[in-house]
Amino acid sequence: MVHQPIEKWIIEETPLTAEQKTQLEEHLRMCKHCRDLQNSLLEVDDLLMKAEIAAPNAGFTQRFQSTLAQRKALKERRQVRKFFLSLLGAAMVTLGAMGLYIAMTSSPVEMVIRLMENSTRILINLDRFERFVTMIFNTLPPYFSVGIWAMAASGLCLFTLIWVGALWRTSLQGVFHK
Amino acid sequence: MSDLEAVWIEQALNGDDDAFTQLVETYQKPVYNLCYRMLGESQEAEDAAQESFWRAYQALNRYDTKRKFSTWLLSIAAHYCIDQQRKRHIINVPMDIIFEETYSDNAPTPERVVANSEEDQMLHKLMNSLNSQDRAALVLRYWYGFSDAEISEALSLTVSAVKSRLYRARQSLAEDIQAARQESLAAEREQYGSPAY
Repeated sequence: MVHQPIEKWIIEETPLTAEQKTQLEEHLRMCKHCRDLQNSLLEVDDLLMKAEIAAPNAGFTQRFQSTLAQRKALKERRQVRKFFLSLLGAAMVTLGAMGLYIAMTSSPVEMVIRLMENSTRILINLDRFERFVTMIFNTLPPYFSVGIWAMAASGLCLFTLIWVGALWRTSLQGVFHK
Repeated sequence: MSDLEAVWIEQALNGDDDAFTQLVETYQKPVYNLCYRMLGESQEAEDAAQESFWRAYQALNRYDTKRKFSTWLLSIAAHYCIDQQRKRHIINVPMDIIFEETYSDNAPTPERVVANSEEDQMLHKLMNSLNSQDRAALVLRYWYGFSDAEISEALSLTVSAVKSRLYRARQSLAEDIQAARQESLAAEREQYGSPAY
């Protein structure tokens, strides 16, 4: 016996036309297989309709609240680590690329010579700068030079703090809504 | 979505964790029930429900307010449960074994409250035979009254895929219940020792 499309009609929940309903009823009278299928589906529907909604143990919300702070802290730590690792990675890639470029554009002897020249130039300039600063400090009254030192040190500390703070804020961007 | 929910979402987006807690309080039962029906065990359902809320908390700024909040939240929970099942490669553990393991003491666990009747045990057994996505589609249809379109949105499937999954799930459940009925009939016959019983 051919069970289609009767089986499909029984299993699907789409409404049938009057003609289809008659066809279905006639088929069910003759076919035990489809009758059993329909009865089983009615039983399944009954089971599913009667099933209750399961509830969690009391204190679910409190448990969520208590773990929320831990989860947030963990996520922040992960994001910060990811950010600084990315920064480190980017710096290493840049340095590597620069090294590769230098290695490809000049010979090792030239590189050593250039390195020596640049190092000497930097050392000479540093020495000049040191002499210049010393000369200025020697010409100024002592309290004035202490003030300049204090201002320079404070400025440096402040700049470092702002820089670290900005990095920290950037590293945490997008972790949570606000 | 109610006005109050919209306010809670807005407040939660502005960093108010208490407002999000109100959402957890409101939706704990539907989310837990979905996880429980998907995973079939109370502790796993608790963990999955907690994780679903945490994921919703993290993704709240991506929530589209035009969508129903409950659909969005249940979608997160359903996806998480489907992933969990895939990860652990659930291979239909017979429910009587689960019951033996879980019911070692007399504490009123949620599954004991729910599965306190023969019908509920039968339902667990039947649901366990379905694959995770079919099961999710069935749970969303029967427990939450989702339409095909809503299920397709929640499970990221096409409407025709939802229809065919529901069809397959209902067919499989009908076959299983038929087989179970025949088994119990055969057992009864054996018990009374009469083939004519």
